[in-house]
Amino acid sequence: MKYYILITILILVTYFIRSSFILFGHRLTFSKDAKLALSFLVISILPAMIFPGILVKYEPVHIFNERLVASIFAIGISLKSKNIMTTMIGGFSMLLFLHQF
Amino acid sequence: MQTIVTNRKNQIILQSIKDNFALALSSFPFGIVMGATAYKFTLNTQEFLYMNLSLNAGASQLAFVDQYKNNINYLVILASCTLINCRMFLYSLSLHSDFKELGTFKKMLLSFFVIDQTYATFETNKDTLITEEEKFWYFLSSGILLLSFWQLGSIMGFFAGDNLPYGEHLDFLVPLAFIGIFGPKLKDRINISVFLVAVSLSVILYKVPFNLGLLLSTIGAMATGVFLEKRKGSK
Repeated sequence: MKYYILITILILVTYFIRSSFILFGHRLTFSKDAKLALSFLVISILPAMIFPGILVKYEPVHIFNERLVASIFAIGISLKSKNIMTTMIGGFSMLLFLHQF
Repeated sequence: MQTIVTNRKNQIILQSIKDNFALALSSFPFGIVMGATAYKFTLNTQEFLYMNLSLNAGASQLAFVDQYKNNINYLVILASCTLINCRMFLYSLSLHSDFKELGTFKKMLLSFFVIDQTYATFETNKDTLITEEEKFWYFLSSGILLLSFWQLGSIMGFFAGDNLPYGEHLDFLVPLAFIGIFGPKLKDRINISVFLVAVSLSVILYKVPFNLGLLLSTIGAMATGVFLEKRKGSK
């Protein structure tokens, strides 16, 4: 029972977080700076989510590991192709290739 | 007139599926990891399905299962899972202006699908969408597609447990999908600087508890972007 209560609270809190500004934000006005800051959200949050996992998550820490090399390779591919699927295939192939050695 | 509207709606739904398909594929192995973890921590089928179908938040689900089975204080569990999901405040804040005039029910419905992937692809592709209604259908379709793949992966992971043959590297597909989203933006000096600040801060702050390092590094990188953009404007 405790499990269900905990999960239900978490569902409600998470839903509140997700819906907060979408449902009630029309009453708010935002400064130019806030809007400018939000335009950098994607380029700020996605790298911050993935790079700790690539660089330091696994012990022992190797800064120049195969996942980092594959990620840099994938960035190069995404810059050229602008296509998510091509980036995934290229980056993953590079990882498997590096793993052979 | 009605036919034109329906055609446009179908066109948007198809576009959304096309734009999100690679991301949906990447969420499949992540779902398997989630399902296998829940199985390993001996959640029963009902417990697992209740959490998985109604929460729709992968990272905090993993954190929840791990802490719950290790008998961590319930308040700590709730606080840490909430903090992990706090980045969604930023998504909600950013999205609110795109759905200002939409009806309450539609706003409530799309709120359930506010996750990293739906937000990121929406932000990248929203310039092709004209009305709020179009944006709504695009966002909703991407949410349903991603949720379906995630659920399918999780359920397979849960029921097949450790017997499922998935490679040790499949989890790397999620970071690669994210690189596919932000990679094309790394063309000008300001975006490259923002990216480097985000990476550096997130690595430095990696061990800050409750995933707060993610929020701090995101805010730090966004502030860098604002600073550099304003400096460029004043020159």
